[in-house]
Formats: sequence, structure tokens, C-alpha cells
Amino acid sequence: MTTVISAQNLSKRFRKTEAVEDLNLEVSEGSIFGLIGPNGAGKTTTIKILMNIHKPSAGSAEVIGVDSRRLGPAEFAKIGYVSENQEMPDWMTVEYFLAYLKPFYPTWDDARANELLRQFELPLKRQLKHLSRGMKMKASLVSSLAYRPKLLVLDEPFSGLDPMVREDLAEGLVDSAGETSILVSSHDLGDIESFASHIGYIENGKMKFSEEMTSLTERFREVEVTVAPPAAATGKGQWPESWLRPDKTPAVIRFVESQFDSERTQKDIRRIFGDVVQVSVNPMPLRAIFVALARTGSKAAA
Amino acid sequence: MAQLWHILRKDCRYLRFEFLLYALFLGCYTWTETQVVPATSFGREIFVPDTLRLLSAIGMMAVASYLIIRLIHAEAIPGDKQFWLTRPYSWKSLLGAKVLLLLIGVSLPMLAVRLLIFRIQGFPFYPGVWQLLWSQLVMTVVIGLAIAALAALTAGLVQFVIPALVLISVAAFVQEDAYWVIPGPPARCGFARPSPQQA
Repeated sequence: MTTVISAQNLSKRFRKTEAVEDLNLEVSEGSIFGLIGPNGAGKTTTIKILMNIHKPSAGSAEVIGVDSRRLGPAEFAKIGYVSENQEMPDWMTVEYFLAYLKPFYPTWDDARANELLRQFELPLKRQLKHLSRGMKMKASLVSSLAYRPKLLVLDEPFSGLDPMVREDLAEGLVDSAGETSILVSSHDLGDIESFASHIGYIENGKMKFSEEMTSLTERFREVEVTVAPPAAATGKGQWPESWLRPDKTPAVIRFVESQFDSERTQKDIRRIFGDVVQVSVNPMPLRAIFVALARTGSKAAA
Repeated sequence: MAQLWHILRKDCRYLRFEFLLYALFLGCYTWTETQVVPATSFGREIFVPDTLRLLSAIGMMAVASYLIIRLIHAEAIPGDKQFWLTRPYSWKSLLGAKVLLLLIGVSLPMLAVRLLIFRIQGFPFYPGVWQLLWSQLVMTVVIGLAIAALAALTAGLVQFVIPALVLISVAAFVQEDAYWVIPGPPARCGFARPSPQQA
């Protein structure tokens, strides 16, 4: 499958701060890639490097087949960029804003723009400065989807929006998925877990892991081992690195298996605890997976 | 080329109120410069037109400068949040649109007004017109483009004002310095002041 974004060993240093460090990222064509991480993790810097707003200090990135440092008008005609803190021409009305942008894009589709305007219920005659934060995001999204971009990059688009607006925006994104590849960043997993096909977790400027959503949920399990004699709870030998957040009581051991394989996990349990009374294995919600990874430093995540 | 005109039209619309204000000050300047005022007088009646004349000239220059700053800041260069950075703008079209509007929207009307005043005051068209054209060209290139260049390095009006004041102070200091170093400034230069010996 072809990639629309491919970054290798991307780094960005602002004086003494390493905002992004050795970051690798691949976004496949047609996918919705969710870039998750706490505030200040390096999501916005990564996106700004990809959009040629910042130059990388080291490493390189290709966006729709072009080095990010060489992105120009021809490429931006195929890329949409929506950011929570983008400075818009506030004096323009929604109608004029769209009319102004239209000639910049050879692929601008009026029917699509009108459809999105209807879907988002945007007031055409209102100036952008008089729109609410949610409305402004919607206007920005319409202006970035109307030309059917090959790639849409969204930086924290849901931040500070009420649930109804989030739902509307997510719906607009899902409708465009397929013909448009999407990279969306958020500090809140809940914002994107419902529609992202791939997920990447970034922390302290480093990509901790990046993979398909389905494989992520398949490889994580919450395991509870009940042992017979209390002394056995300490176990024998080294615990696998893929066991995260172990929690022990004299008779019960709980941990998160980050590389779940039914046969191998059972074998590891028997090797360490001997004969066990009961082993219960439960699938985990995505949020619990992220909490486990974030709290353990995710050594075994990749 | 189409994009150049598209950006230019947008800027005309964006700055329509500033252009109206500029037209108002150009009108005031024309009116004050064409009033007959006695050559010397210490009376009150001479004081008011002179002040008005000075104010309208300063106002015209101030609004022209403000127009240029706003024109450049419409697509500010410093910063990483401007919407246009990730839109398919061509640098050539953007630069062309700004320079063209500076010329036809700011410099040309000022030249027209100065020519009008020149005619009303009854000066012979030749060779004065060439001097007017030359001074307008110098003003556009030296002052207009200097303001545009400084505006291009700043993201807002407040950011512009501080370095502008510093530059004006430096320029005033250099001019003052040159005034002592270069004896006898050319008499035809409009801004020249008498040398210490003359004073």
C-alpha cells in the first residue's frame, strides 16, 4: 500500500528543547491515522514539520511523495490543513472565505462545498470573527474538504468543542475518508477512537508505538492469575517485558499482556508460577490500553 | 497572473475603509495646500491654516503608512499560525499583488494629488513634473518599501511600531550627524536645513 506521509528519524530542536526526537511515522493511503499524546508531547510540532511550517533539525519526511521542505503551491492544492489555533482572515464572511479560496484549487467542487455547508449549518453571511470556536472549525473544515484533498491534516480539531460539534466534525471526516487520507492529532483518545483506522502514540517527542487499531486491541489483554499457595505469587525467574503494570496480592496476580498470544502467554504463566488455579484473560478497551502504556513508559509497546 | 489579481481584489476589499480614509486625507491635503495664505503674519488667522496644512500632510503620510502595514500584515510572514501558509499561494503572485497595490493604491493617488496641487498653484508643467515624479519615486522606493519591508518582518501593528521608532530615531541621528559633517546641504533638497554657518 502506498504511503501519503512517511517520516524518518524526524527531529526538531528549539534551542535547548527537543520537541521531536527521532520520530518515524507512516500514514497509508486511505487510512485515518490518529496521532495521540498528552499536551506538549510534540504532536503539533510534528504536524508543522510535515506541513513545511517548520524545518526539521534532523531527519526527513515525505508528504504525498514530496520532501516536506519542498512543499509548495502544487502540493498544497492537494492537502488540507485544519488546526485549532490557526489564524483565519476573520474579517471575511463564511461565503466570501470560500469564494476567495475557490480559485486557488483546480479541483474545487461547489456541490461538495454546498453539501458540507448544509451538513454543518454554517451561517454564510456571518464574519469568521463572529463565529463560535466550533463554527470556525467547521468553516475551516469545509474550506479544506471542498477540493477533495488527497491528504487532510487536522491538529487538535476537537479541542474545547462541545460533544454535538465533535460529532458533526467526526461525521464530516468519516464521509471524506477513503478518497482522502487523514492524519488527525488529539490529546484525548475518546475524540478519535471511534473512527481512526491507525493509531500512533507520541510522548516527549518520541513515537512510542504506531499500528493498526485492530491489531492494537488484539495484542493487549488484561490477565488475572490466581495461584494456590500464597508463596507462589512471587513467581520464579524473569517476568516477560511484555507484562505491564503487574499488581500482586498473595493469591492473585494481575497484569497487562502487551504481546498477547494465547499459547505463549499460558506457557509463560506456567513457567513463572507453576500450577495455577485459574487464569482469566480479558480484552481491554482502548482507553485502558493507553493508560497502561502511558504509565509504564511503554517499553514493551512496540 | 490570475492569482495576483485575485489577491489584489481581496486586499482592496479588505482595506476599503482604510482607502476611504486615505482619500479623505488626500482631499484635505489638496485643499489645505491650495489655500492662499499670506507669506508672513503673526496673526491667529495664519496659524490655523498652517496647522491644518501640517496636520493633513502628517495625516496623509500616516494613513499611507498604515495602509502599507495593513496590506503586508494581511498575509503576515513571521509566525506559524497564519492560514495562508498551507494554502496554494504562489510567492510571485503574493509579492506582485502587494507591490502593485502599493503602487496603484498608495503611491499613484499621492502623485496625482501632488500634480494637481502643482497645477493649481500655477507652476509651469515642465520641468517641475519631472522633479515631482522623481521625488514620488524616491518616496515610494525609500519610504514605502522600507515600511513594507519592516512590516514583512513583523506580525502586527504593535510589533511594527517599536522597531519603526528605533529606525526613525537612528535616521534622525544620522541626518543630524550628516548635517555637521557635510557642509552646505544642496539648496534644492526639500528636507535640507541651513548649515550652522548659514543659521
